[in-house]
Amino acid sequence: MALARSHAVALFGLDGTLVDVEVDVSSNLPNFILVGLPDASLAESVSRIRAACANSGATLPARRITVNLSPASVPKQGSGFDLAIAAAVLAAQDLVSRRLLMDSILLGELGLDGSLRAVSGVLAITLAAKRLGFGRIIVPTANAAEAHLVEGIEVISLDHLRQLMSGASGVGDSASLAVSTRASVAKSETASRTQSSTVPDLVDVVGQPDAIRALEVAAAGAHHLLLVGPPGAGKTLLAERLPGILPTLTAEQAIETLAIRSLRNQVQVTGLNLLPPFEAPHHGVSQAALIGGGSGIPRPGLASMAHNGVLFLDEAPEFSASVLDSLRQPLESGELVLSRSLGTARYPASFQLVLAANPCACGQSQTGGKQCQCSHTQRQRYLSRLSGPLLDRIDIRYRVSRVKSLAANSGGTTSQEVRERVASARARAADRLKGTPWRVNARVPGVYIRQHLRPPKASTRHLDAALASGRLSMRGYDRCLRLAWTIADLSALDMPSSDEIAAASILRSGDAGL
Amino acid sequence: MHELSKLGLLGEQLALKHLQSLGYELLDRNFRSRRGEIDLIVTRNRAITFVEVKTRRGSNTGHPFEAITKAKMASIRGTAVEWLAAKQMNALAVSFAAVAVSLPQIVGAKPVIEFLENVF
Repeated sequence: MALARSHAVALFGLDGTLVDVEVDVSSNLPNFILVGLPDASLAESVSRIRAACANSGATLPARRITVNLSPASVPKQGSGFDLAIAAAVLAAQDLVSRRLLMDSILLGELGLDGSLRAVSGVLAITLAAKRLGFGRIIVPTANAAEAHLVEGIEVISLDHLRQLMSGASGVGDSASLAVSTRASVAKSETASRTQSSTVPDLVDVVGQPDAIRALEVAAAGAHHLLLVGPPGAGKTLLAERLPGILPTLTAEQAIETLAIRSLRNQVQVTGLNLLPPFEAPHHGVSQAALIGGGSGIPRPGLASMAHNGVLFLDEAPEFSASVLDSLRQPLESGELVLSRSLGTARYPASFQLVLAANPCACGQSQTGGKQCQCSHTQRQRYLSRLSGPLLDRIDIRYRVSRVKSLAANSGGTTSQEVRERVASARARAADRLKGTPWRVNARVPGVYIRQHLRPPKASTRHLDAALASGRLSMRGYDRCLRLAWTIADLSALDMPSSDEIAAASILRSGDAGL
Repeated sequence: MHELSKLGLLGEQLALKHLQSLGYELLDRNFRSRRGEIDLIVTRNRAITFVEVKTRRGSNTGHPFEAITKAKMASIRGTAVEWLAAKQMNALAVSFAAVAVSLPQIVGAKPVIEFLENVF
């Protein structure tokens, strides 16, 4: 009898699989059957489609309608399949052009009145559509800007199911449909570039020149950072300013980050944000919220949301130990592999970690002023909540002290100036690391540094002595060299001298108690 | 006679006429058992077909076919078994069909008859 087909994409993590939506209308008692591993929200789409079609002036035939989502083995989730199913059902009755559906991916949730509503994960689906060789994607208008971020694919945006039908009669198919242009998106892209001015500026930081320097080194080498200091010293103030001094993202990175962020239903995408993301979860955060999870298809967590940006954990020792240690995998590999009942999803999670901690539970130890109320054991226990393996991955441990005088202004260093220095330091590092898989000093393995980037013996004399005496581990040694290289890059030196190495060892072990 | 059953009777008449034009012969009509009722029982080429007829005037209450529920199908199946036992019929094949009769609200317009074979 009447058969029609349309195409959709099922997302699993960021990977999209092509789903063929086949519709058969056969002479039998009226029934709407949806087969092919739909989840609960997808099974509900039957009711939405029935109402949406009727309210768009195309009552479903009083016959048996069988919808098959193939391959049946791929789990399918959510309401984004509504449009593809409705279009195929209408095409089976020759109300929508079959030719239009042949080379299009359809995406969108239907309202009962036939209007199209925004869905999540549009960017990832559009990227998948392009990879699968489709030349066109049909999306709700609310998602058009997001779909347009992908170049080389035609985007048709619809407000209402009826618009799809009006395109059916003509021979030109898509010609009669409004193909939205990239122009509107380009405008919002520049808007988000200037948006970086809304990020707090380093100028606001008073009297912390050394802390700003530590932040600058962290930014230049993409080193993970631990800030220890009493309450009110400005740890949060500093951390919040890190995205402002990091180099802006490349378009490719920004799309990668946005693809993940748009999977969570909370971002309204208007354009490409080139500012590195900043995520600061509360210390009560669960492991699933931080690294991702959930039943069925695992969803991305905050660590993946901070991909290519900064993950800031304030009051780090207050986080549960298992939550903190779950960060070790992404710190090591830059991605999170989450396995749940329906399969395994991979989410990139290459972020710069910034931890902030009080020196002890009361926060007053070593402030010079107020007396610390904690016992020696309490103090020891407090910071030891940060596990050794986690701290091992943190290159810079900086002790932030309280500002004693307002007059001791840092001299008004702006984020702009620092960002320029960081960018040129990163360029130097990238140039040196040409031909290797790494672009920033923090990612370079110790073996490579020792073999290819080893400063002359004379400059590493102190380090070698510390290593020989057992005060410094091999890993600590590598870390010092990495930091020294970053400091040298900032000073535009070709090789770190003993001065840079000395500065590096101070930054590395800012707190001897750790 | 009640208004509604008059409508049903009219629909069954129209349905029967339609089936006869397709070459079916009437065997029995409005057969009742404990389990339900079968509107029309017809035969063609030694095959017996049990027919459920649904009649509607206008379209406000949906398509006639939409009124045939799973429970209704089950009751027709059960009644069909009883009819075959009672008549001791030997059929080459047994099938179930549905006829929808849509009567127009405008006087004089032609009714629409739809016939679905092998429906359950």
